[in-house]
Amino acid sequence: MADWSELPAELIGEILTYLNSPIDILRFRSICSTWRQSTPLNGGHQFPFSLPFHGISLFKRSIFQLSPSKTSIVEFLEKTNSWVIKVEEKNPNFFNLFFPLSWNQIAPLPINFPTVIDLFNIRIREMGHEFFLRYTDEVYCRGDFLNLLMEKVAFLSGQNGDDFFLLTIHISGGLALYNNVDNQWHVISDDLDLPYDDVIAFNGEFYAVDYVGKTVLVGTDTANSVNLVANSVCGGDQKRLVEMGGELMLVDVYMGLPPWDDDHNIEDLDEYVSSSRSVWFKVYRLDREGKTWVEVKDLGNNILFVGMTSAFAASAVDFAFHKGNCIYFPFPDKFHPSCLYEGDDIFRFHCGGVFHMEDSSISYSELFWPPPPWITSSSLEV
Amino acid sequence: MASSSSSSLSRVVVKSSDNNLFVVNKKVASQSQLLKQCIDNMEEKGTNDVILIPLSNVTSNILTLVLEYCEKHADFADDDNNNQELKQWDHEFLKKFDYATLNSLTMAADYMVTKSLLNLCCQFIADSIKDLTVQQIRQIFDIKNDFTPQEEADIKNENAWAFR
Repeated sequence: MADWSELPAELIGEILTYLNSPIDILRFRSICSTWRQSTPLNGGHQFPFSLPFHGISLFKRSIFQLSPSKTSIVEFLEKTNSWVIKVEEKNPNFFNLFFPLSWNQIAPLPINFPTVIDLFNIRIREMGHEFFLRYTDEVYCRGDFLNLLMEKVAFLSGQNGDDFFLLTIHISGGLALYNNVDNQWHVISDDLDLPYDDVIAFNGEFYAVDYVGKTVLVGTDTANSVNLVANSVCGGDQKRLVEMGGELMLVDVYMGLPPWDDDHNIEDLDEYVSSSRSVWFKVYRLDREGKTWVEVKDLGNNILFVGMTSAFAASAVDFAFHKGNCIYFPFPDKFHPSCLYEGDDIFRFHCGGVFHMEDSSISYSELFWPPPPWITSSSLEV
Repeated sequence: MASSSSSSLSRVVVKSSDNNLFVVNKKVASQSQLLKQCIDNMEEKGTNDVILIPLSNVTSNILTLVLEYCEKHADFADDDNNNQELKQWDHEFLKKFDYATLNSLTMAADYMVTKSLLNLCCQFIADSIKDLTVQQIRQIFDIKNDFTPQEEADIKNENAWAFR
């Protein structure tokens, strides 16, 4: 009696409101003809997207978790065999592959890499996406730069279908806000103490954090108001904003020296300096009332991915890891014992590290490279 | 002698498509906009009789489930603080059903205009689709691949990612 293929179009519309990723829409359209007909093709913006008269284009890259699909009995094994990639669609259905935690493209691809990945036979889940801006060639010729750093860009859809806003960091250290309605960049540098370090779109609003952790809410109204949401934390070298479990979090990245705890004495300095190593992290949760960042020592089941270009969160359950509470980060290749993977240059340059919050230890990860055997050994040709 | 202003019903009787009767407390029934509308209409007319609302599209099995949901949500209607407990309950509630039941429940929630239950069902369906392959979705939802060869070819293309 109950027939899912005869679901009324309006109910399909309701379900679609909970499917935000283009990859989910694609899958939904591939089930049966009713579902296909009731599902509009991916609307919205096609990337890259050129900003008129500015000589800038907006690009999008998406991060996916891929897992093999067999039966549910071996689900555990399948998920631990996951592979995390970042892709950019160059032409319809033609993709470039990137290391998920940096802007580096993985090219040329190894010989054993399939030329086509058939999404029908794998499980694929969007973990996050990132935007970035590039000057078009004419601008280089004209020397007509807008002075944007363009490393990190946050994107927000406006009230009306096609409207959108962009927030990025200006070379002055201030913020630069764009909307496609008046097609203008507005530089916000009032009350600037220190340069901004990161921007994020969270719950339909823009946030920005500066080098010491002072965090502001950036209004998209005409006033371009900037309101303090959290005071600084000082601490490490890089601040990254990330959404985790519906909350706004701050990741403080220490390069070289570990956090200097308040109970250290100056006599400990030698020991402190000798404990220096590549990377260290602290994580904070936003306390809106108190306008402070509150340190979180345990991430629970959560896993954070903190890259150079974006940061996102996942659940240990999605990866069938027995615990979360860790942070994936790009591991500088100079620290990598490359003898382990001699000859695999891609791995040497694109390997990931894992910081375990529990004991601050670091290990290497193969979540990003090399591709798991089920990808390289399968004949996935169309 | 009928006085319209003082009329107020405390309970209604709801009849399922297979002719079973359910006596439902007004607060519970009000979780469904369809039932609430019926009650409001009758109250306006000033009737003091117990009213019978026939639901021609909902079987008693499914009506029992919708009413179980409405009852729980009526308990929490005035209480925002227990949101977390209610969310947990919602989650456990849907997990109990097979996909055929979930289908009927979704249709009933839509028909009875129980918006929060409809949202819950749609979210659940969307979530279960996110982690599966096309084949697995067809299998679980018991959906036949009814595409024409042309559509089939289009879909194959759409689902192929070429790398270079």
